[in-house]
Formats: sequence, structure tokens, C-alpha cells
Amino acid sequence: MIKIENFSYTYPLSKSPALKEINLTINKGDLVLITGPSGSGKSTLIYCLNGLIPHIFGGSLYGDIRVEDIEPKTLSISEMAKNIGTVFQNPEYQIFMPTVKEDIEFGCRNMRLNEENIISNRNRASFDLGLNGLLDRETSELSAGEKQRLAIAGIYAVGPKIIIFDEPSTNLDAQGESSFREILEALKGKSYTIILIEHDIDTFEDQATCKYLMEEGSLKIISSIEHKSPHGKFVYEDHDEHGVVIEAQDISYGYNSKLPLFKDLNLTIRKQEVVAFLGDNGSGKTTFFKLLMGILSPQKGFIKIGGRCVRSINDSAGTAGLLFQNPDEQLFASTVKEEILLGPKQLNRSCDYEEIRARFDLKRYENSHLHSLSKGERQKVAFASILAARPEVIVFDEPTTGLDEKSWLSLMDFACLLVKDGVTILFSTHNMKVANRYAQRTITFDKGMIVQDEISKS
Amino acid sequence: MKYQKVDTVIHRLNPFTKLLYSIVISMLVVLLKTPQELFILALATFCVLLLARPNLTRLRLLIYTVGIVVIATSVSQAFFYYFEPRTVILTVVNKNFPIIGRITGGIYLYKEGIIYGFIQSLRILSVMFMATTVVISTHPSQMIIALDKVRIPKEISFIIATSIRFLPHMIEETKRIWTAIRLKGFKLNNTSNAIKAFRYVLSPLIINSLRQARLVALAAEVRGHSFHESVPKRKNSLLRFDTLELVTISFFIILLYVAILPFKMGLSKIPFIQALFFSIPFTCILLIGIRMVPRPGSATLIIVGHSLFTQIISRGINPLWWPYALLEAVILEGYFAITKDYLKSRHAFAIAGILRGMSVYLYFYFVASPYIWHKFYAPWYIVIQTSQGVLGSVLGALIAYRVSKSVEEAYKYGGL
Repeated sequence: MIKIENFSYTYPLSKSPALKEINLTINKGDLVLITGPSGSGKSTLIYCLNGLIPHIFGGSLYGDIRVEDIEPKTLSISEMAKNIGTVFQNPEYQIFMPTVKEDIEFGCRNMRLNEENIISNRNRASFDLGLNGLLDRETSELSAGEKQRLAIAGIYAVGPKIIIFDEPSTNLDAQGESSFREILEALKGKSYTIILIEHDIDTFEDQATCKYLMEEGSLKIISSIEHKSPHGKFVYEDHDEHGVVIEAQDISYGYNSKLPLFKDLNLTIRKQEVVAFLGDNGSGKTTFFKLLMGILSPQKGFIKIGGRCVRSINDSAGTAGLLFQNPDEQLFASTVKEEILLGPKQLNRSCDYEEIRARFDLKRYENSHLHSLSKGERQKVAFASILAARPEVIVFDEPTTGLDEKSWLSLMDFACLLVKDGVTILFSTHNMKVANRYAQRTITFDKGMIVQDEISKS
Repeated sequence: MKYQKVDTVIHRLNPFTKLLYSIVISMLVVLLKTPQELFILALATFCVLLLARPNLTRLRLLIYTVGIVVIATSVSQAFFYYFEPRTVILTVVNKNFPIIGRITGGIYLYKEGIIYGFIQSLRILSVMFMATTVVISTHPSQMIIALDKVRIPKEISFIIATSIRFLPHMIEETKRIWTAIRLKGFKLNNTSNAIKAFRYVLSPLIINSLRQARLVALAAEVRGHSFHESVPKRKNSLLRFDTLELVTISFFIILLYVAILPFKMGLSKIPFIQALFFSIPFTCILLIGIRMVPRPGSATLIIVGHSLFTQIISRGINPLWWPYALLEAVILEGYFAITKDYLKSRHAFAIAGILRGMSVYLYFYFVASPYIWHKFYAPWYIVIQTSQGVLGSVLGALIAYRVSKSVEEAYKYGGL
């Protein structure tokens, strides 16, 4: 059981509290969903529960917080981990050992359990999480879904009765999400107490016994009716029919020469279309984008953008812009201005910085270091810097990953407004809310084949 | 080189035995003198390598590298041979040639030098065969266990294990960042563009590494791996690092490995000025790493950790490389201890760059070359190479200063 009463927390060197007067009671077997925008205090609450606050972060705590009747600050983090486990957003960062078996045992060994217990805990975790057949596999060879199950197994093996999941759906496709739902059901069946932190309340709403909204450090209970906010279809301005801007003809490509992913793929996209690419992980969406951008070269066939054949990145640079999932991988400068002007300067293109700054409302970030902005703001600057080179096509790779609803709505609304200026937009997503709102056309890939290509209803 | 998963007698050997094998071969390489002894050593190490059944691609690559080593050593020693008698077979620059002739004392190709170089190349080949055998037959985690047995500090085995674990992830991320800079229109078709792109790429590379290091350290803590709890507190403050500091150091070790990859692939093909191009990225990442974990011992952990890490995953455990790393670490630690300044100013970066460049290159030309590899170089060549190494290190240090300032600005304004 978790009991939090009038709890507030302030980070060191910060004047305002990150958590304000939190009151929360979670009973054994509950599945509690906590949602809220980025920076609202969700992660801070996790850190207070598992003891990272105050042991690692320091800061000032007021009020009462108890996990299984224990104050987290009175035990070491590893002792707390026996009571409350935390599965972070990206499983990649919480797998430490070379093999599945060793990684499941990692936590137990750190807690100095005896060998007999380590083996029985490992066997129980691998069986319950469906990893039995993978025990001797190298962790680096696992798929994204398997890595997530391993991250959960590593926590589960230690034996906490409370497990926190921090944005578990972020990297999951439909299949992964359904597999995760099964894990949640199984844990619920075993009377585990679960705390789910999610940007998007809809994903696991049906499984939650209680839902909370965190906003600016305050927590309030929400009803599903109050929160639901379906977004209508984005309204595009009418424009005349335009010619083809992207033409992929007879494309063949495979990472493994014996097992091609694409075989004689044909696809044309017209100017000013907004196209959503759907499909599970590994279905070919990202590979298609890489071929389009010249990051990969087709083994057969060709791709043209604006009538120009793309054979390497040099052919697509400036003509097409790619916005990565993680904006930090494409921010190179320390100031907004330097970042915006970098691309046009390299491409010898003129750029009206004032216009871009006004259009994206960047003036207020001008004196900040780029990396001190929030992820949504960094994504916006990365997007502005792509647009500064005036590309004909903009490609978004999973634009909603790691962003709260407000941030991705703002980003995508802005992007789709550019369609009237002649820009074509392609995006891949697992999030059907984005696809339904913005796509004029949806293309679904499955194992490198286009299994569905349809014009969306307005 | 990479671990090869096959079942051979060498693969089945205890990793500690293979560690001992590396040490013995390294000692023999230094001690043996006659051509016959060196030939037997090279042949023996090659036979052991065959027992580990290297695959065809690896064998082909190895034969190609052997060819390059033999030719490069023979040619270099043909130029720098100074024992008598010696027979000139080609005059490149006559000693009476204006300026260059006077400075170099003439550049000649000596017949005896070719033979001498060929014999000495057997030392390098023996080490190569030994290293390949150990790397392809020993999983990195097994080698870490073997190193634990010789009681290397827990901190070092932790940073090496963490570096090995996150290397593939970081390589992928680095590729994405390089792709992103190329999509901005950067063309890497000449040296000046490559250096410019390197400077830009550094910022996202470092900042992402710091962000990830923090996430990894938090994940380790909640999985019960608190470094201070698992290792009894040491009296020596040099080794009192917390989990976040050690994970950050691990990420810098990976960055050191990753940052010199493009330079190894492209720029090292330019003869004669390799020292310059290797020194820039290496010094730059090293000094940023020290700046990010500014305390006694971090330079040692990054340098020694990087040396062991590259030996375990690609170069093969080779004690002959250890003095390099230790000397470099001791000199930098000494400088920081005396000045009590962990790279706070531009001149501190520049001096650290000079010290790093001088220690590495002077050690190579005055100790490693003559006493370990039995190779000789003319004074003018040593001056040119060392100057390049120092210049590259200073350039790297100045880039490091700029990038560190930018990263610290991000911290100052509440980022990361």
C-alpha cells in the first residue's frame, strides 16, 4: 500500500516546488494511471516513491510519504527496490548484462540474495514474462518487445509487490502494446499494485482502477468523461491537383541479401499530400524513409523527389527534411539563430531568419541554450531548422514519441498548415489519433509490402 | 575484430589462461632477439590462431593487414636504418639538397634496412596473431571476469562492462547524428569540412551521452546497483566515484572509441599526417570527459578504461599498450593535482593538450619503438611526428574547451 499525505517536494536550487500538497492512497492490487503533460511532476513523483529522491537528487521534502509503511528516505535505494520496482521508459537503458539470464539475475545479485533464491527468482520471472526460451540469448540481440519484457523481468525477479511503469507504451507498436496489456492483466491477477505513468490516458484507461491527472505539480483524480477530448479532422485548405513529387519505382531492398524487405515496391505521392505510414515495428516504414532520404540506397529500382533521383544523402539534402524521433540528435548549435541558419548556409540558400523566428514564435528562446528547452520546444526548433532550408517534402519519424498531446498537436498542426505553401508531409506513427486527425492518405506496411493504401475521409 | 561464436579448443580455454598467454607472448616479443626466434614465435602464434578457427573474412583481412605491416615496417626501416655497414639502393633526397637535405642529413633507402624491417615486423605479427586469437575466442564478459581475477579495481571492470554493453547503442546513435549533419547539407568530401562537421557533431553527441548516462545510472540504482553499497568504501579518495560518475566515464570511453572511427577509416589513409588527425578527436573527447567529471582519478579511469576496453573488444589484451595509458594518465593527473584546476580555462585545456600529445609521442619514439618494437626513426621524423601529435592535441583541446563551455551553459540554464 502507498499513502501520501500533504506531500510537497522542491528540487535543490529551485525556488518553486515540483510537487505540491499531494494526497494519494493506493491499495494493494490497484492499477493506478497517472497522466499529465511533460514537466508536470510525474517523474518526480516516481523518484519520491522509489527513493531516488532524496538519496540521489537531494532537495526538500514536506509531508508524509509511505510505501508499504516505509518512508523511502529511511531506506537505501536498493532496499526500497525490494518493495517497489521501477521500469523506466526506455528498456535499452536498464539492461546491464550480456545475456538474458544474467540480466534477470542482476538485481537479485545486487541485493545479495543467496544463490538458491537467485535461481528460483530468475526462473519465476523468466516463466511469467515469457522469456524461458531466451535465457542464453545475448541481450543486444533482442527485439524491442523482448527488451521491454526483460526490463520488467529484471525488476519482477527481485520480488517487489508494487511496480511503477514510466511511459511503457512510448516505444511499442500495436503488437507490443497488446503484449504489454497481457502482462498488466497477469500482474493484476497476482494482486500486484501497479502505477502507470502515461502521456496518453486513452492507452490503458480500460485497465486502470483509478486515474489521476498531474498538472504543475498537483495531482487530481479524473473521470474518463471529463478527460476525453477527441480531436477532429484537421481542415486543409482546398488546392488544385498537383503532380507527383515522390516516385518510387520497382524498389528492392533488404538488410539481409537472402531476405529482402522490399521487393519491387512502387509508390507515388503527389505534391501537398499528407500521408501517414502505418505498420508494426520492422514492417518497413523507417526503411522506406531512409531510402527516400538517400541514407540507404535501393538494391534495385529508384526513388525520385521532385523529378531528381535520390542516390545518396547529398541528393536529398535540402529537398527533403527528416525530423527524427529524438530532436537532440539533430540540434548542433547552442543558439536558436545559429541552428536555424546552419542548414541554409551549408546548402548556399538564403534564409529569412526573422520570418522563421516569427512563424515559430522563437523569440522567447533566443537567449536560452537549445538544450535547456523542453523536449517539445527542442522538437520545434529542430523542425524550424529543417524548414529554414525550404524543403519540398518533410518526413516525420514517429512525431509523437516522447511528446505529450499538447506538444504533438502543436507540432503537427503547425506542420500541416505548411501544406498550403506547397509542402508534402509524410509521417510514420503507431498513434491512430495522429493518423486520423492529419492523414489525407494512409499507407500500411506489413513485412515490406503495402497492404493498404487509402484516401482518408475528410 | 570481434568475438566469434564457435566451439574450438581455444574457445574452451579458461579466459584467465588466455590472459596469461597474452602476457607471455608480449614479454617474448620484447625479449627475443634473433630472426630465427622471432620467426618461430610468429609461426607458433599463427598456429594457435588457426586452432581458434577464424572465419574466412577475418583471415582474409588479417592476411591483408599482415602484408601492410610487413611492407610498412620494411620501408620505414629501410629509410631509418643507421647501423653500419649499410648499402644505399635509392637516394630520395641528397644530403647536399638545399634545406631538406641539410635538415634530414639526406634521405636514402638502405638494403640492410629492408631486411631489418622485415625481421622486426615479425614482432608485430606475433602480437597481431595473439591478439586476434584472444579476441575471437573470448567473449568480452569472460575477459572482464579474468581481469577481475587479477584484481583490477572494481571501478574499472564496471566501466568496461558498461562501455561494452552500451557500445552498439552509441554506434547507432552516432550514425544517426552523422546522418543528421549530412542532411543539413554538410559534405564530408574534404578535411576542412570533416573537421567542421566533427565540431558540430560533438555537441549532440556529448549532450545525449550525458542525458543517457543519467538515465542508465538511475536505472542501475533502482536495480540495486549502488556503487558505494556494492564496493566497501575506500579510504583512497581517488576511487570514490558514484554510479553516475562511473556511467558518465563509461559513455566517454565509448565516445573515444566511436569518435576516432571515421578518422581511422578515412583520414588515416593520408600518409605522414596521421598523428595530427588522430590526436584531434581523441584529445577533444578525453578532455571533455575529464571536464564533465572534474575530480582526481577521472583522467586515469577514462584513459586506462579506454585502453582496456579497446583491447578487449578489438585489439586483444596486450600488456605492451598499458604503459602508454598509464604514463598519459599519470602526467595529466599530476598536472591537475599541481594546478588544482580541472580544465576551468582555455589555457588549462591547451596545456593539458600539449602534455597529452608530448607524453604519448615521446614515449612512443623514445621508449616503445626502440626498446619494444626494435624500430628506429630519424630525429627529423620524430620532431615532425611529435609536433603534429602536439598540434593535433592542442587543436582537440581548444575544440573541447568550446564544446564544454556550451554543455555547461546547457546545465547552467537548467537543461540536460
